[in-house]
Amino acid sequence: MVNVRLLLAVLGWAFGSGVAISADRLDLVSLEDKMLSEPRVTAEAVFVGLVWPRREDRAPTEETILAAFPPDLRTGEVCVRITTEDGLYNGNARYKDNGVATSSLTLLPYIPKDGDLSVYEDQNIAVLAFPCEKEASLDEVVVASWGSDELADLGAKANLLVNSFRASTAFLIVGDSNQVDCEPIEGGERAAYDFSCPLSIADIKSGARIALYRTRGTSLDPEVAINIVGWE
Amino acid sequence: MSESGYDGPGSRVSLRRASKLFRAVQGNTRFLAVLIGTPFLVILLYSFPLAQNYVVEARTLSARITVLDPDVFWKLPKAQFCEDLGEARDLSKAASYQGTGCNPGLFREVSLPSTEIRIPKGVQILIQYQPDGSILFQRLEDRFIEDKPTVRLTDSEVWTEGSVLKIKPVDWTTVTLLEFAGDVVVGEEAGSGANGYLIDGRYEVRELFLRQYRPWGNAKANATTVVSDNLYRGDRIAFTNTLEPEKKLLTGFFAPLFDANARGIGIVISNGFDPTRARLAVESFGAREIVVTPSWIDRALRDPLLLALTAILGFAVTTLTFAVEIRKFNGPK
Repeated sequence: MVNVRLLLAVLGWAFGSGVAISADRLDLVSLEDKMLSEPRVTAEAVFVGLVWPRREDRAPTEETILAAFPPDLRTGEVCVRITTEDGLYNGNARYKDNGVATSSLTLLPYIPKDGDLSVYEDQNIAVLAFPCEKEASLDEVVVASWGSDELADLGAKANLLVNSFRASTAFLIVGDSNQVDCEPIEGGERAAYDFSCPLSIADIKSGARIALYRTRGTSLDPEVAINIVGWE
Repeated sequence: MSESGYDGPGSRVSLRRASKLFRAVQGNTRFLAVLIGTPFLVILLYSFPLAQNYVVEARTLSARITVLDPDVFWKLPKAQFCEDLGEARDLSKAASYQGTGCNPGLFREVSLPSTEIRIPKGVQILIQYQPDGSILFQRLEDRFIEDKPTVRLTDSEVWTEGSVLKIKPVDWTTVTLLEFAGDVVVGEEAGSGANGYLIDGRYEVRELFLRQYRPWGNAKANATTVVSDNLYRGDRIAFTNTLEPEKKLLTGFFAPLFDANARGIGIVISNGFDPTRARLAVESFGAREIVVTPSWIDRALRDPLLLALTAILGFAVTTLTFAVEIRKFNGPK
């Protein structure tokens, strides 16, 4: 069943009326973070972030993450991982639902304990949100937006941020056949993620399997896949 | 000295001697000018080199060059040409391919005979050593230009972006020097997944000093190595020119290694003798980038003339002191 408020918000976003939606606010359980003084060259995983950027004309809402977490996925704890492109900051937060699930959208308060994220541009912050029970396999993730609290703030594209482990090129297969080329990140070899792959919100809002392919010279690395959980 | 023969702690003695020296030179302005002016003159003379040349020799698993003026001409042996299929790539076919040649889902493979190619300005090429000893030349995205230049491999084949030339080990050993002029990055920064890192090498900064200036030219002057150091595995070197990034004109060449069993590609780079062109930047694993910049101390310590003058002066002062002491010893009681 389509959530009425979500539908209103989508309509509001489509017609630019800015209809606000009240997302469910989750409670912070724990936050462990660290700001390093020297660049960290290696990242932890292939998929570093799935970010739904704000529209350019919308101002950021500080210290809040908007994540499209359907209620059935919030029965356990919810995990969020924040990584800056330069690899200096890394944070892991856990949240829990307060039991009143009314929306597929959730607001996650995020106040760094160590370091200051306000010095970073939005596009230099990777957010990866997923059910904590999937932390080991990381095969189910949701889209999340840094510095947003309204669906109406968000644009029509999301970015999958990838640490390719120094591949030459990277591309995705979205669903069964839609091929997407990934763009190299400016930060290059020192970055915690080195490719950004644009995804159309229309292609993933109902959920999608994303397969990542990476080339090295004339050969291809084995496929790595991830499932994006839909929210509509 | 006090009557007891004890002058007190060392610092007090030094102060007393300094005060004596100060009193001695008071009123002797010429001596004072020499005393203060000489170090200043040395610092000034060695702060500005007449010409500066960076030379790097390294063994690496990869390097990236962007051709600037003039165009590059390479004589290549026979090779496999893997033309990037671009939008037409077939990922399911690519994923199921188990071979070692060009992946047919990503590339169209063509065998090329031995050929000479011309590579124009703006073309960026990645050269990579493969674990099986073969060498890949991949054309990357062009830099510094708007129009995409054509690189013709044969009458029918054009080297497009993303496409790869693969040279087998046995053919690579027959390659003569591959010269280039342009911008270059040697090695890939160390980190998980890195397979194109620098293995080892060495750099030198050679300079001509201001004192070597001759109005009729300095062609016969010998350059002095003022800074040199080893390069270690995982270092990445590049040349920077923050004022004019498009004018990092370096010359160099790639070459097969003499030891056929050794891994990597040999590379030599030089920035000529123009100090405005570029500075060497070295990034080592886990550290920030350092830009190699010789100081006046580096120059002064390695200038044979200054070292000889210092030695002669030291010898003269010692001899003079010795003579004065002997006179004191033999003088009237």
